[in-house]
Amino acid sequence: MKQIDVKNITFDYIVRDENDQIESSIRALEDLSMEVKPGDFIAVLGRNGSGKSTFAKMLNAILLPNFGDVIVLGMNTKEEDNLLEIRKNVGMVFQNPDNQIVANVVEEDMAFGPENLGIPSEEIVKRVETVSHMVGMEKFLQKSPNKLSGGQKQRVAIAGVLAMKPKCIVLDEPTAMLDPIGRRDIIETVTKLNHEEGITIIMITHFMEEAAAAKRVVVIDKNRIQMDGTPGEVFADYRRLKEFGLDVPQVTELAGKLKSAGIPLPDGIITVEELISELKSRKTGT
Amino acid sequence: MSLKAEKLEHKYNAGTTLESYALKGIDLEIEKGEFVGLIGRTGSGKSTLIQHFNGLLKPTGGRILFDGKDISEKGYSLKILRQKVGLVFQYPEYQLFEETIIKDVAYGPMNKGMSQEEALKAAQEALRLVGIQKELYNKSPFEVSGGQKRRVAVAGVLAIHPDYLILDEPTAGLDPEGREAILGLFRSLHEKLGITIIMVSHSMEDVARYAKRLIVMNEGSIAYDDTPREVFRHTDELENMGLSAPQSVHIARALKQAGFDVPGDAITVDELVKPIIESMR
Repeated sequence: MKQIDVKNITFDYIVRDENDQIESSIRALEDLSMEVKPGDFIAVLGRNGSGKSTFAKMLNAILLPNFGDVIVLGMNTKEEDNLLEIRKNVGMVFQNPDNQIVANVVEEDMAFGPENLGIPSEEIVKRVETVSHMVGMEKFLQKSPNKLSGGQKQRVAIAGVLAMKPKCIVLDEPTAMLDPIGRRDIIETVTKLNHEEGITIIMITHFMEEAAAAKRVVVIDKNRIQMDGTPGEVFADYRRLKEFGLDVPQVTELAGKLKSAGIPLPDGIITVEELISELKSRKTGT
Repeated sequence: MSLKAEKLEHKYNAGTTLESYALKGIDLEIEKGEFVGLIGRTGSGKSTLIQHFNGLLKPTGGRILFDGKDISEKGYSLKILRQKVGLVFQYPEYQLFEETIIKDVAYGPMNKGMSQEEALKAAQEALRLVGIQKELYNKSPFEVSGGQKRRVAVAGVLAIHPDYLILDEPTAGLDPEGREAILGLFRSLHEKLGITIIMVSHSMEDVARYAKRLIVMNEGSIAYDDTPREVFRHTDELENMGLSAPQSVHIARALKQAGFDVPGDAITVDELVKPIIESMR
């Protein structure tokens, strides 16, 4: 079953001069296809300018493809009648927490989305209560968002999206501006939403460690998908990742260096636990 | 030469019920030629501190001395201070504005009073240092990649020939390749030109690998000021301050617990390779 079906999409950014004439165009996506299943947790990697943010904006009709189609829960993003339903089901969280807060009190911010959908207020109160627990911000409901840390603001933003009861959340570098604890909080929060609530997560990131927490890693480069597999599979190919301007998690890097030094380790080790058990089996085995 | 904070204090909303300290009791001296990392959770006072270093904020208590002179004193030229202490803000590419890359970088030197010819020369030199090729000089700064934009913005500050370069989260939002490139640039500016680097970062891995001295801010005060290796020994305390140790420290700890004879204070992955191989024998 497909939740989101991206079919052969191509997209160009058009640069216009003062007279609204087309000056030039820059290709961002080319003949890109991908399927997202319910409950997926996908990390999207790619260098700056690879097209990954453009791709993210295709998933809830912020941008529409020039060619090809994006089908969300059976609805084509090109049909305007579908917009509300698509945006209810695919929520977006962006990089800068300060740009996403709209209200003066945390609970009002979380209620903003459902209010716009015309949901009755008793129901909104219930939803805000529920989603604030999901992101661990229930103690801050009466606070001003200005007093919160970056990580807490991002969790409020996620709660605001959750309050619309989406099937899928797309996060575009949600941790880029956060300190280490803020970063960890966000990753724990989205992992929990995926595991416990079954919400599909599509997360763009430049942090390889964060990608290792996903179930599936997709690498975009030169406007196309270049790699698609489990974190173990993708991180096993260090040479190709380098080609795409990427890297591997530190554990994977360490395992690679040990392998070059003669310890026969498998490729694609992404956790310390795996590394330790592999090393132990070799230690006792000889 | 040095940049010094003496009993530095910065109060917001002084004299009102909302009075709060952004900085308190900061004593700190950074000598010319150092490579300093500055870490701390959001709101710990890092950005407030660095804005005092080039006179953008005035202390509400204590003072900032540059080469022994109080920069708050009457008659002290902040213009000259800012030519010596260059500050690169977070996401500096948002501040690019000229039509071409070369003009954007030449803006600072022109402002400093250089002739157009001199300014262009300084701009070319700065662009060469940051690794922007000649073919791009006449392009719009908005046409190049995110990593390149960031380097153009750094060149804009370098072109005024500062002795101190303060960078506020210079790698935020960059891909791994862009990140390595810009960190390598700071290292070479430091090693080859002797430029003092003060780098604010949320990446423990970056400061572990590049900084020689690490200052940890917590609630407006300095919690630690030592080599990265010494600072990262305090893993638990750092966690309580909203920070963390580099991943290699966590890896080292796990290996140690599993019975491998590895140093617990490995702040980079490379330091673990040899001990692991030896403990496998």
